[in-house]
Amino acid sequence: MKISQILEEKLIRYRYVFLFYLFVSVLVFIKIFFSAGSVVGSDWGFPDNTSQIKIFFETLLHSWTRIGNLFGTRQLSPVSVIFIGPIYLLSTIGIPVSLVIKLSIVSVFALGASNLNLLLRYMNLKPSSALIGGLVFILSPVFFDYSLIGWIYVLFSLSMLPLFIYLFLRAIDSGNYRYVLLAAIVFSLAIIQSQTIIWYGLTTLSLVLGYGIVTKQFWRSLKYAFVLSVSFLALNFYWLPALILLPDQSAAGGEIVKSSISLGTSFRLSALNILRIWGSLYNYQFENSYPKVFEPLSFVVPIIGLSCIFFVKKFKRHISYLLLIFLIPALFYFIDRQVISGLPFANLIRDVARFSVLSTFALSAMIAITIDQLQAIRGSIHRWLFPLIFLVLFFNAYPFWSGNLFALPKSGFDFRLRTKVWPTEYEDLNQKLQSENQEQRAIFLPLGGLVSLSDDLRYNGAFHEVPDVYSGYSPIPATISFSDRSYGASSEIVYAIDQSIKNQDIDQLEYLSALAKINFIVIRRDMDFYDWDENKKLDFENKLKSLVISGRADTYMDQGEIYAIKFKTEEKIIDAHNQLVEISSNSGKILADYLNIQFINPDQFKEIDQYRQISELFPGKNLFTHSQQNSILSSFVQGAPDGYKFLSLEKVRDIMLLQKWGYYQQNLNLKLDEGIKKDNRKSILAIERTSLPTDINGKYIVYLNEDVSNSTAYFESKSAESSKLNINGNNYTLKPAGDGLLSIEALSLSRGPNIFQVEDKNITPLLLKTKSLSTDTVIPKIIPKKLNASEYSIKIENARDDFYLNFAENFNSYWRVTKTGKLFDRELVSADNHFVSNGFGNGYKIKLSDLEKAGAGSKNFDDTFSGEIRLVFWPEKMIMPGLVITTLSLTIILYLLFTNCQEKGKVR
Amino acid sequence: MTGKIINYLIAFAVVIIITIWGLFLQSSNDYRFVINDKPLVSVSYLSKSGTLEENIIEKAEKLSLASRVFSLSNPDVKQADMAVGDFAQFADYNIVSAGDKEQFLATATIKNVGSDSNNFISEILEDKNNQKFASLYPNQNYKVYIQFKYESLSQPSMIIINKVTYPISKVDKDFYLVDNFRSTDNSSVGLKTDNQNLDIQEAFFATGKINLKSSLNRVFSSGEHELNLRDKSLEIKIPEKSFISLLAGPGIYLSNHSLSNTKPDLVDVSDYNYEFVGTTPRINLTETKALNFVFESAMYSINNSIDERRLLSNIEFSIILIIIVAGLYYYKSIISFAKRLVAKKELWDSRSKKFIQNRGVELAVFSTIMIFFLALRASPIGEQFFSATNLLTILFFFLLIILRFSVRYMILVLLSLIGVVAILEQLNYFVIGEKAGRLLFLLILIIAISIIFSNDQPIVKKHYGKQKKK
Repeated sequence: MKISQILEEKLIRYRYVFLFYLFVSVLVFIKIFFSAGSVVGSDWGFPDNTSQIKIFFETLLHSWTRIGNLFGTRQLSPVSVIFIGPIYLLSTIGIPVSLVIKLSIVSVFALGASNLNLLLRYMNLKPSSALIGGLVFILSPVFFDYSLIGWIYVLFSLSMLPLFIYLFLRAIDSGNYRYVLLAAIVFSLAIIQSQTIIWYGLTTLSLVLGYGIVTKQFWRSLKYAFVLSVSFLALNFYWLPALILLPDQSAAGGEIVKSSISLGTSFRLSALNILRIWGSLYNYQFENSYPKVFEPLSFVVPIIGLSCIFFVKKFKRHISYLLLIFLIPALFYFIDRQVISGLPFANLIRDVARFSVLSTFALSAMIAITIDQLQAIRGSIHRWLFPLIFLVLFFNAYPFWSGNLFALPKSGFDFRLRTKVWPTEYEDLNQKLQSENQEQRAIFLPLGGLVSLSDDLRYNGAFHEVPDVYSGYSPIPATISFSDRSYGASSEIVYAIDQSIKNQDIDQLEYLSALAKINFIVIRRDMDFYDWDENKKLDFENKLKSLVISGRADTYMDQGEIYAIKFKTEEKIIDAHNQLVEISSNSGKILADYLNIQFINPDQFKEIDQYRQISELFPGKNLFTHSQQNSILSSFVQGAPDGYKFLSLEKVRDIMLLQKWGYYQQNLNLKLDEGIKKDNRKSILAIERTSLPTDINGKYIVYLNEDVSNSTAYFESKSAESSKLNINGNNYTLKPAGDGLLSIEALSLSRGPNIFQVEDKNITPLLLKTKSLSTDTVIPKIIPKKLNASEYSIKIENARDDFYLNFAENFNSYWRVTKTGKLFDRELVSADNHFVSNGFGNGYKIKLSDLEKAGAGSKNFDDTFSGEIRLVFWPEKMIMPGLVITTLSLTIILYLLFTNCQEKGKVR
Repeated sequence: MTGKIINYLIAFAVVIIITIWGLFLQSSNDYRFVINDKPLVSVSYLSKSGTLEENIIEKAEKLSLASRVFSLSNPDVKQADMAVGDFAQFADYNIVSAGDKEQFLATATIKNVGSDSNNFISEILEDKNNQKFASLYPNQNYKVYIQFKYESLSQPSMIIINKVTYPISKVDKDFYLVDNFRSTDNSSVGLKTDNQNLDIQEAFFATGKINLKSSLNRVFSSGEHELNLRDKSLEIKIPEKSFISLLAGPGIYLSNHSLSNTKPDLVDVSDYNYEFVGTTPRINLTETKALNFVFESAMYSINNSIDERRLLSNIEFSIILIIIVAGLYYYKSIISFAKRLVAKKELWDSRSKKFIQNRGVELAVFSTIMIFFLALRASPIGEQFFSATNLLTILFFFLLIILRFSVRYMILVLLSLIGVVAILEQLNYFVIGEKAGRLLFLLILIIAISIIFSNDQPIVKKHYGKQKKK
């Protein structure tokens, strides 16, 4: 039989089954179809309208995105396009996005049930048993909880799993490799959820070990597992090679496994909950809605499922792998997360609780087998046992049929499905921004990506916030999402911006906005800001208005809930500078070599906290770089620093205490893995063993790389009463240096640690300036042009000297300067001249001789240099060749699938 | 004749079911709400109890001591309600009990430490002589009552709070007082004595009303308010930024009609009475009452937790009765089933005899090993290795060996084990339940391996998918 014939035959029957399940799913979710607005809340953060989905869709086509972080971040894979693409297409023909999202929820439910039905029918189960199996599957806790939290990608992956298994089994039974190719296509679709690669991989392993061995087809199944892997790799060549060859810590590392959010997700996970497929989320809405009186019934469900082992003779081949799949979540639960986090690409595993999807599938299938076989039992037992099982399964689905998907929350961290109609002025603002130059930045306040609405308790407070879709999908980048994922280099400026808003320090906010090229500040009056009351919110708005009154900004929009300003100085993302100011804090050296502290993360020492004051000590158009950041993030070769920052010993003690506190707090969690606890205990002991110098009050350290003479130490002064200072045991007197600064000039200090002691707490050391800069270099004219999200062309005109290029986008070592931006193009700026600029961006030392040598420009008649270079985010370059291979592979696979070829029919 | 009796019994059971549900539906609740005007004393402490029982004892002790402290600090107040927790938003009086370093570390949040700009908390924690710690409200006058452990050894005269020495005076047979201690912006405090032989047993910080941004004005029975009782709803109208304390019958509480209103707080309080017999305690610890604190004008629905519990017990009772009725109705089938079992008894007897005969040596060996392991438990090292869990696991493996890893027997053990863990979970034996759960997954793994590597050939039908009838 041809594959096409099989598909046709299956699809005809599948259609009716799918329609039945679709009907059931619509009944379950009927309320959202009658509620106006988009599905929002928790992780439900899909675009609200066509223009937003267009922005989302377009950004998915590139390796660099500004969604989620206005400073940009690497997009590890564009696989979401599989889900977003069709929604975008439907929205372009006039179907509202909110409706498409609602339809996609019910479709995913119907798809999951239908696919399981197909697999169960393949197992030779009666149609009625298969039908019940599908219902049990989609009326399970995982489907309930994940549809509330908005993990539709997880549900999609889970829904495709039975189809994947069906195809793989069929391949083993028939010896027809074409089914494996189909399975690879299904796998490639389900990959929109990153954990799919682990889930489907382990499922394949279970099939090889279970089904393969039992049916004596081990080698064939192993061979097909290999074919599956190769086909999957070929079909995903448009993103996989970039991830492997140009790895990113957020995927290759394992720190997310131990992040507070991941640990929190597993808070309800216990052996007993895994058994009854509960506890897959911290927000356990299904379990919360389950009546206490029915609770013992939750254990009857696994009893029914595991009872299928009684019928092992008939279903040995299926029970074998179903049991293995059922055990996978338990296996991950028992492995210490300290061990899991050490595995390569452990971040893909992320949280263990999510693995409940596998046991949910396996248990549903086993329940269907039991029901099927009980029907065959003759005698009186059949008369009462069968209805009893129905009754149990019916009661077990109580949270669904009792309308708990839309009920009131039972506790603070509980939330239910909600829809939201956003104020029209939100869209008005985005429409207005659409007409602006897109190479700008905005900050929509409050920050964070999740917002609490002041006037609506359904979206107010912790766990009830809504994703900030109007900033997330704004035409110009506008979101800073707070999550357990790192923002990379931009985390320090994000922190600084957040602090300036929190402290209502409008001057600092204005300065940081200029530094970070943020041209718009938008506040939404109907949202909560920190713990501010209405008066404090109004104070902040008035401070923004004062910027307008003083002529530094214009009112961009003042309508309804929106108040937006636009700064008058429009900053560009790419510009040139003539000087590089390198600031060293040597904090890592002080901690490790001088204080013998090995366990404090040097990231804790914010590099740009006094940036504004320090930059004023170096007049001119200078680019700043910090040695501490470069040592962590880049391969920049350090020069002799122009200034040294001070490290406060009191601050070190605070951080030590804070860390100790953090470890202590985490270890209070009784469910925390012993490995992580042990690690924490070790850190607590290490902190306790560390002895700082006895008198640390007012002490600051500067650790010099070399002897310095004629240096100047600057101090910030806030109504200082004394101007006395002690340096290395000698007394000095501070002199006023203007702008609230005090200084000591002509200081000679020796290499290594130098201790400054300030008695007056109103005096804070700012910088030890070791050099003055020459200002005879000329800044060339550069004309940057954005080609796409991952590529810029930069024209250089009349350059006389080497210069520094500042690209104010989140630092990433894969942003490279080349001549033409082609795949095999050579880098024009080596990694040791690519540094973190201004505390977050990409800085490059451009040598005109190198550009000339590479033919990227030429000398003019007046001995100046003109040329053109490309700034490229390198993983993007791998998309196109990968896409060609993917397209070719898909074409070959489709050709193989639809050519005339008989099944071998080697069924045993 | 038997049939008739059974019919009567069934009819009787049905009548009982109808009666209990009828009584339940008919039960009229007294939904009268009274405005409570008694002052509220908020008592907060850092708990160090690990179990429910310890928690109850600790709460009683703290309330008892707090009532004595309250009687010392406010002798004019004759009657009040005492609530455990931080209710400064509503309370007329606040008492904070200082805790140990461990409790303080465990309950203070990172945020406290992070915002501790002047290293106040750091200094308090670093001072190894500090014995008690507490988080107070900033810039508030407190009376500090201190109880010492070894008072008889030396007479205390000083106490050091955050490095400042305060004179103390005896005010009661147990308590010493620091009058008028003022907390600063940094509200964390550490207490120590000037004499190392003196250990602080308890320390309480007592103050009056705390003016917070979130503080609400109380609406008294004589104040501006409106309460309209409608069936099972209560409409409450109170001025803005105020709250009302409502007392109702036992188990009655208010909840919201919609999400747009703030949820009322249900606070358990104990009666404090200055006139209670004897000197200690001045608090009624035997019974508590629940107060509904409502701080928004809205329509609230009235719920009764006693009714909710009755509903659950009615459901459970009805299910049992239905099972009994079903048993009576199908009694003939059950009897015939029992007869069949009896008939098979002899067969079972001979089988079990054979089973024991075949495995007699194994049973003896396993029993000896188990006794040996039990004996080893007498030594400290043996106790470490042969914990109850480990012995149970070994026993479990012996059982599986005796059952020859037969899948049929193992599934019976598995299903029984699920039943056991379900019961353990219902009885809140979570630790044992978790261990049994782990054993259960181990058994599933053994079953899976047994199935995969067993030699039984699976039954396979030749056709898959749709079965065509010819």
